[in-house]
Amino acid sequence: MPIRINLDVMMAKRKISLNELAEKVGITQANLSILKNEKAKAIRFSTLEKLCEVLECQPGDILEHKVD
Amino acid sequence: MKKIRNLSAKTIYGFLSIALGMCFANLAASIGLLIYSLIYKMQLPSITELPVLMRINNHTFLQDINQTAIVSRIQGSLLLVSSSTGIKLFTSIYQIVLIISTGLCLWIMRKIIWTVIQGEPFVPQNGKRIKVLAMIVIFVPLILQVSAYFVTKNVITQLNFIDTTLDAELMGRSTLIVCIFSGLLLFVISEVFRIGTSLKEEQELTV
Repeated sequence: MPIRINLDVMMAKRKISLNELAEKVGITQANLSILKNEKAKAIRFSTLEKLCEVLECQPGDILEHKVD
Repeated sequence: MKKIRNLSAKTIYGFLSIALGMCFANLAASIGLLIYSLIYKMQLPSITELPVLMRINNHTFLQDINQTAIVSRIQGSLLLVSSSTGIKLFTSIYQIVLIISTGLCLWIMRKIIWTVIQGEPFVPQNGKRIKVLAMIVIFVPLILQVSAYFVTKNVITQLNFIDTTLDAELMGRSTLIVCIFSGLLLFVISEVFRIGTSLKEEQELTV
């Protein structure tokens, strides 16, 4: 898929674990794993908003469009 | 409520398993009988009754005080006891195809019920299974009935009856129509299933 998820990069920058991020965002660890491993088919605006809030970043820092 | 639903699904699964077992036994018996009759060249009563329409040349009058009925056509079936290899083969293959297709339908339904018991009926395989079921329901009766019609037509031309003319009829036209509509309905259900499963997958993978 040409949309890449840079969640692991942002997590490393903010020094936050998957467990902690899932708890703060309010989604399950399993769902966050699906997103991190680029298995997700869609992302809700509410989830994206919470991720940006917790990671103090812009949606563009998490999502990236890459042409193969 | 869930327990009752599971119990009924398990009961259906059990019945389907029994029916499938009977199908296998019937298939083995049919194949065995065909091989035996071919090896020992014995006369085999045709398992399939061939549909015929009998036209009576000299009309028969049935009369009572108030009314008269003229009998000119009688519809019935012909049970042949034939030593002809062609007829034997046809009736046996007819029977075997019928049993195999019934067995296949039962097998598919059993698989679908199993997914219901497992609590995961909305899987892409079930859509494909229903599509196969639809194809069997439409094409198998159609092919069998049309082939039976042509065989009957061929057989009755060789038979001589006084005062009557025999004519072949396409048997069970209303049954065929029901089969075709049921098959089309199953096609629609399989498409709904396919879209449903893809929506479910998408919903599950939405974070």
